[in-house]
Amino acid sequence: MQCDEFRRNFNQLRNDKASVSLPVQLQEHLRYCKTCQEYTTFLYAIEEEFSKLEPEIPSEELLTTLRAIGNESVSPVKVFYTKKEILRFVLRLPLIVSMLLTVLLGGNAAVLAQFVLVTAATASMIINSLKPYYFQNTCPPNLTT
Amino acid sequence: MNKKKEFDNIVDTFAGNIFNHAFRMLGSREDAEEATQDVFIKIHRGLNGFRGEAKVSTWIWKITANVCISYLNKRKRNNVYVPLDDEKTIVVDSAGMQSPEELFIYDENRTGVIALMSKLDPVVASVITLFYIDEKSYKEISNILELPMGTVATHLHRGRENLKQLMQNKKE
Repeated sequence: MQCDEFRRNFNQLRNDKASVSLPVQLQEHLRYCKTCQEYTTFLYAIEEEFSKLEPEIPSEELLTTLRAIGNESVSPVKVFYTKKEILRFVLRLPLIVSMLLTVLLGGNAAVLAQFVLVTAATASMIINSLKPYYFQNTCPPNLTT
Repeated sequence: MNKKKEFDNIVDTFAGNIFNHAFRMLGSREDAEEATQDVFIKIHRGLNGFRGEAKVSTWIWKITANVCISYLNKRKRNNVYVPLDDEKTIVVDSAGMQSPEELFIYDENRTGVIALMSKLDPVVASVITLFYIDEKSYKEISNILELPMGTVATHLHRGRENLKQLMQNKKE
């Protein structure tokens, strides 16, 4: 038996979640093949790692929010915003405000375009300067609060 | 059964499983909460239109898997690094471990297999999570992700191989 064939058969057994012992033919191959021994050990270790994980329980706050969705008679709105989403919205505000002002003050298309360009450039600068702090937490785990 | 009661039943039955799946896929509690809420909003919106062609549970899992995959895709597109909650919590005793493969998993950085999952392709990560965490069968995964059984098998195989490779790279 070749290693490829062994792996295919072995994977099939694991995929079927068969708890039966390995067929004799597979056992024979495994006895002499170091590569496949390592491979099977790895798979057993992965399975064990996954089986050890305790299920994560949702918080009461989240459950309350989810139940509230069911109380909405029309289309539900999202109420549980994360810090990241709020930040994204806040960063877009200058752009929206400048567009509104331009329209309200009766500005023409050229003025509007200028406002959009300037605001977009400013917003992008702010986003880039904040990125390391808000979007890419690079602190080592033991330093995070 | 009215829609409100039906929805409450779904929350009671599936909230834990959906949150757990999202947490394992996304690796952070904050993102998992956000994704879980998105899933339930989609369920609420789609409840009236659900024609019962598939089992309710399959439909719910389908929404869950798609929401989590789209979160991971969005994260990859924006190149966002999210510190995984599990990076801190996977603490294992390496005593008694014998093979180098086992030691890869329980290395000195205490970063387990879950932390490495975030480096996989989102669909592959979804197959692995559905198979190992949610204990779905091949057929169920195939229905949930709308993939042929052969593709599910290939993704599972590729996922394991990639995890092995990632662990080896980490060790080197």
